[in-house]
Amino acid sequence: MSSLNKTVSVRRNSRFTQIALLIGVGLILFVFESFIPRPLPWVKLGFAHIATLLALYLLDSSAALIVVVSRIFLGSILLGSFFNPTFLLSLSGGLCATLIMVFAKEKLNKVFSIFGVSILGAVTHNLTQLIVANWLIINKNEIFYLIPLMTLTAIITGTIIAFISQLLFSRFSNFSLQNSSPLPK
Amino acid sequence: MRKKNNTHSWLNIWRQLTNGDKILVFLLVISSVATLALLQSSEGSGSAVEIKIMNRHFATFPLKADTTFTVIGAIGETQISIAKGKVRVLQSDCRQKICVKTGWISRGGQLIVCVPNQVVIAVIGKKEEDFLNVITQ
Repeated sequence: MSSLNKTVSVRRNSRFTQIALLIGVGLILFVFESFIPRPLPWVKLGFAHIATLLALYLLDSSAALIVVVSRIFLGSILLGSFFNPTFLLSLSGGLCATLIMVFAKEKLNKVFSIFGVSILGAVTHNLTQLIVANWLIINKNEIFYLIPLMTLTAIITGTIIAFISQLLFSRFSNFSLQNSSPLPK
Repeated sequence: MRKKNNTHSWLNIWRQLTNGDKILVFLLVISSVATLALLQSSEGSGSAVEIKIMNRHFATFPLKADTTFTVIGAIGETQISIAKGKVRVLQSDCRQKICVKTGWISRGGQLIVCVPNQVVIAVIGKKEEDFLNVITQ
């Protein structure tokens, strides 16, 4: 009995550790990316979403949401933008993108591969940020002029992020211990 | 994960795409390109510059005016320059300087936005109303 309990607690701890690791990965990529100069002001690769995709595909939906929200909170504290408009933009964009990705991965599993899921996430991220930016700061509908350009870049960045995540899956193949066998009851 | 033991190369991406992925990309590209074409045909060169600071209208300048001035935003100063029918941000107290890097804008509907300083610079086109109609429809 005690050994069974131990197994359960080891598995629970391992999930805890894995989520913490992925938050760390996302955080490093998030901060690292903020130092890279952007070719155009509205173009961003979104490296931090590699951690989101890893959490979504190696663990589960709730892990992906935890990773995104914690990463954005911690990242904004590190970059000194906590509760700024910038913070609200990343939070809304990150949250909506992840919700759409979770939906696409869980419910439309047969329809979209990781590439489709990642592109959907990128497009949603852009749209949400534009809407929130317009609502919070800009208040000029001309900003929606950017939607087609942002969508085209989102297709490219989404594909790149999915590609990198997939490269990582093979290196992380024994990462998701908890899904390899069902928990003992 | 659907496929595990494939060699990873850019060429392999196409083989991994499901039909859903391809349809999604196709629809997104078609709708974006169509919207872009529609917008290009409806916008003209701008006639005036509207400046908003912290969500409030600050001033409107004609694009013909050659002038440089400084405004105070949420976190500091933003220096704006209008010359030869174009407008740009010369200097800003924000960290990432995205507004400065945006460079010159001159066509109706184009925007320079400084999120940290909450400064919005918009070029108002001659066909502003047509443009807005396209957006809202």
